[in-house]
Parts: sequence; C-alpha cells; structure tokens
Amino acid sequence: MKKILLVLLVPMFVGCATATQVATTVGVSAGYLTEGQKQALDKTAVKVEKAARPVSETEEYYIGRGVAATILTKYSLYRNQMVTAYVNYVGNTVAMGSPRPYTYGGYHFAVLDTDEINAFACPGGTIFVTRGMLKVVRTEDELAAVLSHEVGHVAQKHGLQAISTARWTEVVTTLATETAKAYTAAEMASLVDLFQGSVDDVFKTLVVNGYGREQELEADGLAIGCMKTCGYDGRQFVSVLDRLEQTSKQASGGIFSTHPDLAERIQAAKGPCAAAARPPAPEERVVRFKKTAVSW
Amino acid sequence: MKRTMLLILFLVPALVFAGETVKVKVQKTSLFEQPNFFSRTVATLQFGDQLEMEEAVKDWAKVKFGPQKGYVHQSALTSTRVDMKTMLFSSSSSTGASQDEVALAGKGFTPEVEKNYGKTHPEMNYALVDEIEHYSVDPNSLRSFIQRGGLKVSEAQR
Repeated sequence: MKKILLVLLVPMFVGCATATQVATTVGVSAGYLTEGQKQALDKTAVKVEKAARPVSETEEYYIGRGVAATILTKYSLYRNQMVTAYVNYVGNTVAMGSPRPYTYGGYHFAVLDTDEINAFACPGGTIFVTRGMLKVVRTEDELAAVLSHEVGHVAQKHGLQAISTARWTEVVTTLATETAKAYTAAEMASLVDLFQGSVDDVFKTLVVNGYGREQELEADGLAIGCMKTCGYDGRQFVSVLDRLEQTSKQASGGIFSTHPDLAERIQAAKGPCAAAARPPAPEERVVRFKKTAVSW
Repeated sequence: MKRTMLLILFLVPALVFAGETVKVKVQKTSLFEQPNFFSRTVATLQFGDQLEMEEAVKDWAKVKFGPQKGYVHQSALTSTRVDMKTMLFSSSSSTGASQDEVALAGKGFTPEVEKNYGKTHPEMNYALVDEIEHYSVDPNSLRSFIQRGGLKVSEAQR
C-alpha cells in the first residue's frame, strides 16, 4: 500500500497524468503493480485531472456574458448617463475593497429599466441593479451595501456553483482538456449546447430560484467587509435589508421570490454591521446621492 | 497513512513563491509603483504577460516585468504551478485558486463558442453586453469620488 501511495504521490506533485503514467510504468517494472492495475490507475489519473479542472476565469467571463445577454432579453437597459456613472463609481469603489478586485473582464455596473426590486451578479463581474431597487435605497451607503452584496457573489463565484457538476464534467472530459485546436463541427455543436446549458443553470439561479442560504450569508459577510474597507457605514447594510423586509409585506416577485430569508439575514448581519459603523457621511456624499437619485 | 498523505498535500502552498514566474490572468491591469490602486502606473500589463515574483505584500505581489519593478494585485495573477489541493479536493466547478489560467485560455468556452452560440440565439443582444463592458470609470475621477466622499479604499494595504 505504501509503495503504491509513493508511486502515486510523485506524479501528483508534478501534477499531470503523463507523469502518473511514467510512475505507473516504473511501478510495473519494479513489480509493485500489475499491468491491469497500471491501466486502471492511468485511467483514473486522467479522469481525476479532467473532471477536477475548475471553470477558468476566461470561461467564467464568457458564461457571465451569456448570462448578461439572457438577462437583457427579459429587461431593458436604463440609459441615463448620470445614473450609470454614479452606480459605476460606487460599484467600482466597493469592488476595490473586495477580496477579488480584479476579474478577467473587470467589474461593470448597469441599471435595468424596471420597477421590479432586484439586483443580479453575472459571473465575471457584470452587475445589474434595477430602478426598483435604486428607489428602495436612501443613501449612497445603502447603495454601496446592495452593490457590495452582488460583488460578494462575484468574488465567491457563487453563480458558477449553479452549473451542474454533471454538465461541467462533460465539458471537461469530452472536449476541453485537449490542447488548443480547431473543434470539429460536431464538437463545436456539443460545446455550444453545454455552454447554453451552463448559462441557463446560472440564469435560473439568479432570476428564478435564488442562491442558497449559505451563499447569501457569505455574500452578506463579504459585503459588510467591503463597506468597512471602503469607509461606508456598515450599519446601513442592515437598514437597507430592514427596508426590503418592510417592502416585502406589500410587494412580491423580484428579489422577494429569490431572497425569502431576509429576517435571518438581518439577524446575522446585525453584529458585524455594528462593528463596521462609521461616522455620518460628509456633505459631498449626501449631496451627490440626492442629486443622482432624482433621476432613477 | 491517509493523514500523512493529506498533510503532505496541504503543505504544498497555494500562494506564489519568490522567484516564481507568474502570469497576468486578466485582460488588462497596471504595474503600480506602490501596492495601491491609485499609485503611479509603471506599465500596463496584458493577459498572459509573464512576471517574476519577488515577494507577497498582503494582497499584492511585488514583481519584476522585464527591467521594471512594481506591484500587481494578486487577484490579477495566476501561478504556473498546479495546485494539488484545488485539483483533488474541489467538489464543484467553481473553485478557483492556482491553476494556470493562461494555459487554459482557448479551451472549453471560448470566443468561438460564444460566436456560435450567438448565431444560433439571435435574440441574445451581445452588442448591449459589449456596451456595458466598454463603459469605464476613469481612475482619476474614481480617486476623486472616493476622496471627496470621505472614503478610503485607496489606502490599499489591507
């Protein structure tokens, strides 16, 4: 057993199936392994390497673009220069305070022209907030809370976790571990189907089913950390959740169908938010919020 | 024995080593003079650029890029080493860490896949997605926004 383990450990540190094959060949020569064991180990090593490859950052980017394009088939973009600029300033500020300030394509923030109260984080960093959600926030700090939460989902790659493991394994095992090459028409058609399936998996989680409880709480924790790092008042994270909970009593759909556990989140956030308290915002921050908010 | 194996695997560090070659894994980033988002840009780095790691300074990496030295945020870098912990213990498709992101580009979901997807799904308005992505915030304006708003993210050595 120890010998077999040693044979396996060496190539593991080299980190490729070819090295495993070299080691198992040595194992056969030295009499540690039978030919049958060698073949089984070689196959397993190849399979483990393929199936375990995570979604790369460039793939995350293209999935995110697909999710964004899908969201834009359901909602219209709100094209107001002042509002777009302001949301991007606040969003980029909190993104810099996150554990993942850089993504392959960077963070981009856009406003959806709907009264539905919602916000969506596409994998890779495109983040949508609806006009309905903007009407809920009362201060720049509350807007920072909403955007920080979405940045938290991006930073933790929560969207990608919606992709079914079976689908991803199929992507990797059937096509993606080959060296760069021109795919045949059949391979490309298969990849496009898998791409569509992956985009749909993420879209359904964002728009229909919502993230899991653990992911929401994790994004909340990161958001409060972002706000603290940037100098926003963490207590306003709770104030915006409180308002959303109040609003949920008169409204339905949107964020209220995908985020049903607001009371638990408020309870969990109270302690960390109190520790992230900041002095009142300076006049400049108050004025620029009010000046922009009249346009959403 | 299982414990010994796990111990050995977890002793392999996930972070980059001094002297190691690291690569830029984002489309574009800056080589900063200081470990600070608003420090002077020494050079603009592109996806795949190779850098020599000197040391880690919290979330930043002090690197050499040809004759130039500076700092890059570690979230913009990928190691060329394989992280066995990620490889063996990731249970989902999402785990990131130290795979060679640059080597993976061109595999799986690529621009070619997106192009073919767009052809079969004309309802997808990628032009609008491009428009959102092309909107950029000027770093100097952002610094001013942060400072005038009484914020402080530019003091980046967290």
